[in-house]
Amino acid sequence: MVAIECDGLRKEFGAVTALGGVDLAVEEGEIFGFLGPNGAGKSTTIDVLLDFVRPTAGSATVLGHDAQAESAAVRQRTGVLPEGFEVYDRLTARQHVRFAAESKGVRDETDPVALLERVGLAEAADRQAGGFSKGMGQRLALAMALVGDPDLLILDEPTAGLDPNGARQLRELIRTERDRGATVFFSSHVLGQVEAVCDRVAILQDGRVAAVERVDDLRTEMGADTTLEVTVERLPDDALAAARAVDGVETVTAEPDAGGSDGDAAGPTVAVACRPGAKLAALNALADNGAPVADFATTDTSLEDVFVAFTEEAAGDGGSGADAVADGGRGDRR
Amino acid sequence: MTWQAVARKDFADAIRSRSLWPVAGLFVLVTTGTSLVLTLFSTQSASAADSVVGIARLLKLLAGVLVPVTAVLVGYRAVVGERETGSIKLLLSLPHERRAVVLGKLVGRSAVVSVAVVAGFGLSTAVVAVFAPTTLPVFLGVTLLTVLFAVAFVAIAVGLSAATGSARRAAAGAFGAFVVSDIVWQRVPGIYNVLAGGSGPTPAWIYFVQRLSPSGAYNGAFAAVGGSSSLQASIGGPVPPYLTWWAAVAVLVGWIVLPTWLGYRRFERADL
Repeated sequence: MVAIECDGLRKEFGAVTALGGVDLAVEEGEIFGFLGPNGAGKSTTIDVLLDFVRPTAGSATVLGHDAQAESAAVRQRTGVLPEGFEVYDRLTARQHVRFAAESKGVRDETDPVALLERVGLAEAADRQAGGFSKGMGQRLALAMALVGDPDLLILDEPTAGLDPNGARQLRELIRTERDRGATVFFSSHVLGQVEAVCDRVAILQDGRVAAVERVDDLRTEMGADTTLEVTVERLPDDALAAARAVDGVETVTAEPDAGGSDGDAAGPTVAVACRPGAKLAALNALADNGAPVADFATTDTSLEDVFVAFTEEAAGDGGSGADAVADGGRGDRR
Repeated sequence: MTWQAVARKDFADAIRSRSLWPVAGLFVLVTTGTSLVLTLFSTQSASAADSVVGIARLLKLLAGVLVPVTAVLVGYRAVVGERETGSIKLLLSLPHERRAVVLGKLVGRSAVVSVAVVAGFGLSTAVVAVFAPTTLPVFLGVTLLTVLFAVAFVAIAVGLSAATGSARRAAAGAFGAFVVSDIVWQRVPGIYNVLAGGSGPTPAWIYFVQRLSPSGAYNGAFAAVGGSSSLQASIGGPVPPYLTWWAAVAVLVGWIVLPTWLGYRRFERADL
């Protein structure tokens, strides 16, 4: 079953085209990342799914309901963490959650404090939300989104305002909700967040979907996951051969001795390209075969690299957002 | 429909607004103070029933200004305020139809203003009842009419609030409606008399035009407690059906329904 389906979604605000024909299908039960730089159209797409704005052309279906004609039915079964919202200053956290429960008709089954507990806000349950930080506001909206065990969670930039610990709790919560059977649709321009938790991602660029891929496949397309730079004391050929034989290692290349330019990094260097799980095995293979490891460093191919590659491709077709993509991705990353 | 949840939330939210209390407090203070002073002085003279109607008439005059101002202040940010801060995204992420939002806002804000009206008139009623207990119905009638009048201005403010994307425009429109209704429209018979040369009775339909505004309707509806002898004198004959107090009440109801509905129509189509 398809949880979210967009078909040729277009949205024009006056002369500005926010969405230039978005096609998208999110399967039930998956964690789907919706990636793109600011201004790519992520929030506009979500606004259409929730009937905050009406598309100029095309249609959207959410949980089998037309997103425009049957919006209330959509929102009855959906939990939303919107972007750019504000909480009600004069109401307490508990009143917010109770309001969500009343709105969904599940007041009697809902325990506001338990939900606030899940997002780490229980101790602030009876404080007015006007004094909350941005992160606390995010947590509060998340607690409201969880009311009534929704079939679909739509989270628009959910990590905005969260500290690293909060972001980790959010990822755990997202997995828990998925395991319960919910579909999670998660937009972000912070690639690390998406990479860590999503099954599939769509990359949105200039109001169009530039790519939809499984996160694993994206990495594969980019080549090896990890590059290990290993400095060894000696480098016999046996060690190279042993490292190449390790399962998950793709290439092993001996590099010229960098000792001259780099002070204490005396000794030969080996570059090992491998899957992340094979790193330790590769190091052990070197050490056990006459090449004691003096030092090593790793470089992961992140989604960010993938992202930049994809959007530069799109930019080659006449787009102009590649710079913004790279800036947005790096600047905000953890 | 989920408007009850919206109304409850909105009442809880708006009643805590500090900017509301000075106006509402002033209203309560002025109405209670006035009725206290007038009661003390007037019970010594004239007949009790006449003086009570006189007090009620004066309270109605005060309410004619203070109630719309309070209602507009309470109502103009109802919808557009949520659009400007972004809390509407939180609100409409929940399964509310937009008509439930507008209706819930109307009910919630009306309840807030009604609390102020009932508090002000309630204290006045208590004061008067101590001296003239038999005239309670007069005060209950005026209180009900004033609540209706207040809700009409809440509806104007909420309707504008739903129709526009700018709180400033909603405020300007709602205060403009008050000025036109209370100051300009009230002068319709006077303006007619000047234009017509000022002799003879004023035609009845002129008074009907006057009563098409919320303030005119509120004053007209006061005949329910104050009688219509002065109106009969002005038009020089019996009161036609369209100038009865219940016709004026119908106009007030119209001022509740129409702005709300028009505002909803605009809000329904709006991109947020």
